Amino acid sequence: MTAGRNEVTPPYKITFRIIFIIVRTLTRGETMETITFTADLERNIRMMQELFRNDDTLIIRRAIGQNGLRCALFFFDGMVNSLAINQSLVRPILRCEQPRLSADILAAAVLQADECRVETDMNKVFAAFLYGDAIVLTDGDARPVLVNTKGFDKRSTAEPENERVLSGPREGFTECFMPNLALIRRRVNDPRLKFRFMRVGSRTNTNVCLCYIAGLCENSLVERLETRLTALDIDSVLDSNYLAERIRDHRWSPFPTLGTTERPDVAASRMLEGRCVIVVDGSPVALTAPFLFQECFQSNDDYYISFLQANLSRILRVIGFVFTITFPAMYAALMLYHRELVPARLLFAVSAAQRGVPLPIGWEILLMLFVLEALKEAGARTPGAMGQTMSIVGGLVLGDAAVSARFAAAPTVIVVAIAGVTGLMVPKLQTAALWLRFVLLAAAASWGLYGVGLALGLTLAALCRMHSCSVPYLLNLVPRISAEHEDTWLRYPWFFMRCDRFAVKRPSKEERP
Amino acid sequence: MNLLRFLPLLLLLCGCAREVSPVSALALDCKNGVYCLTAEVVRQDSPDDTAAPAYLSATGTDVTDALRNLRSILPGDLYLSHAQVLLLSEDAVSESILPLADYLCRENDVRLSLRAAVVRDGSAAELLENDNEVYALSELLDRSAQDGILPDMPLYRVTDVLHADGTAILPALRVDAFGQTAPAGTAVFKNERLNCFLDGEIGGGAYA
Repeated sequence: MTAGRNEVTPPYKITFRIIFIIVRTLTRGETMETITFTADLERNIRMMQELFRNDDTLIIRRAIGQNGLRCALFFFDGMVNSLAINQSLVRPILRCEQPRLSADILAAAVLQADECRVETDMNKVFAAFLYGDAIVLTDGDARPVLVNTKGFDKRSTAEPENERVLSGPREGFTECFMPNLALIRRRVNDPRLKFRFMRVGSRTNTNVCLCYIAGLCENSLVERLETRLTALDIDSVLDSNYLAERIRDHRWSPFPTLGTTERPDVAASRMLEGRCVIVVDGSPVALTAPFLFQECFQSNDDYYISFLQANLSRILRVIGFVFTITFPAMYAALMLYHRELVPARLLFAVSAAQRGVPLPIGWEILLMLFVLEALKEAGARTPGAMGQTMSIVGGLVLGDAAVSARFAAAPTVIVVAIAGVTGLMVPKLQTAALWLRFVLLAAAASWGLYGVGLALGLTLAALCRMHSCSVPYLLNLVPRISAEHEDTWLRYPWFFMRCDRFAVKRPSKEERP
Repeated sequence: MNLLRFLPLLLLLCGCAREVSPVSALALDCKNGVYCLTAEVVRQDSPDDTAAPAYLSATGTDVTDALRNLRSILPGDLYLSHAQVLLLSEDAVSESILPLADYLCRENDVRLSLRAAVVRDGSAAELLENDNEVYALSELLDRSAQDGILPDMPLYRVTDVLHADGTAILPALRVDAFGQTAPAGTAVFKNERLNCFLDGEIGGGAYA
């Protein structure tokens, strides 16, 4: 709602309206559309004081010019750059020789800020104000001037703990929105790089940016994601996962259909492959879409080290994933149902180790997998200094004690440990691996190798019908060599890889920038 | 949803798993018409985790009866798939061994690669217990067959040749003067029963 000029409203009406707005805002999470400023500066100040009652971080600075120009500055302590407030706003107003100024003149000729505008949309005004901008009101004009004075503390860019690389860039996203976008732009100096802003969350009003490279990214993908983001009915967005779980395809699947990264170089690389990146204010994790199954096995390192080493690592990751989901199940199936397939010496060794263990192998593995997950959870939640102690006590002492006390057999501990270690090789599939491990184990303990085959077949069928933003989830994974397979199971050397490699869909010549 | 209809059917298969007692070797003795079957199984109460063997014996009026009785004293199901050696005492093979060979060939668990050997100058159970190690006998027969000292006679070959003309040869073992299990030549079968032994030196290298 726009603010009218020179409106005079009785004080009791203002108070009543403010109380009504506050109550409704607090109870229903509505927007600030109904708040209006008037030409009376004192009433505006009272209105703001009422609106932000019990909020001691609100600072209202009255400033009077040399010839009686009356202004009021509103900003939040800790959210603004004090130097900018003093030098760009307070000082020019105090030195102003005009007795009365309109908001337009004030913004254009007096205030000395890089971003300074008259804004009449109250939603935008309060969104910016709550995010660190300052509001300047002048007596006689109901329109507020919005000045960019953001200056809150932020974490410096550091290498993300979850995406460490042996070689390559070490920068990571932080919780700050604009610096994150700057990190992306610094890597893609192309005018076709687009940042589309939107606000999500009726209470948090969180900034969300949809980033893509026009010409490389399909318009339909951009529109699809924009539609999904704008259609969200959500009151708060405190992290990108709030959005990820809502906008992703196949919400119930343990396989990720939306990528995440904390690295600007990865985000840039995804955009260069024709994908969209979603950056959420307050979250160091950016989302990438579409996300394909093959990406689960790709690492940032793959592109920064020799292709020979990178490909070997990729193959190891695939084997590791297969191992982590099937090893406990295969062991249970073989030892329970198909002993004739086990080499005699191994069978006797396992049989000797199993003696005295009270549980059947299936239940024993299940129990040990639970213990493994419990240790992982405890390790993740334990403060750093205690984490090492935790892993020693949990991994070594507990494992050894369990075997000595005959709670579990040594081969079972080894099988579960191998499953646990290989599971760490593919962090993006940890959730899927966790669930598949249990499902396959149940199938193996119930029906032997036939059960494992059935469960794996159903999983593969489910993967085949999955898609991410209308792109088949298993795209390019069929075993044939063609131009589209430059970066799937294996990475081609850079001297074979085309500059316009495009993993999702290769644009036609006309579409290429 | 269609798959769920088959779930009850699949659930019928649950519980097929069984605890087993794997047998690595068998020894068959016969005294006064009573068969004594001794099985080498993995010991369930060994002080460490090594696969130490234990020996359990059962008697019966015939091999089937002895096997049935053996099943009843084992902690798990009798599991013969990984049995490698069948030791036969001289008394046990004084009668026709074809029924025994046929019976074992028809047994579900027993593999046709099971090796048979005849024990000279002693009982089969004693020789089996002489080496306190799982698969020691199997390794001895392997080595001897590779060196050509003893014939390599798996169960299926024994059955085949006995069915052909009733004549066969089997490796012979004994406990030597040093208390070690050693090759002891070749047992010769004629008309499906033990006829004589060829000394180890005569047969040396002949089976290579």
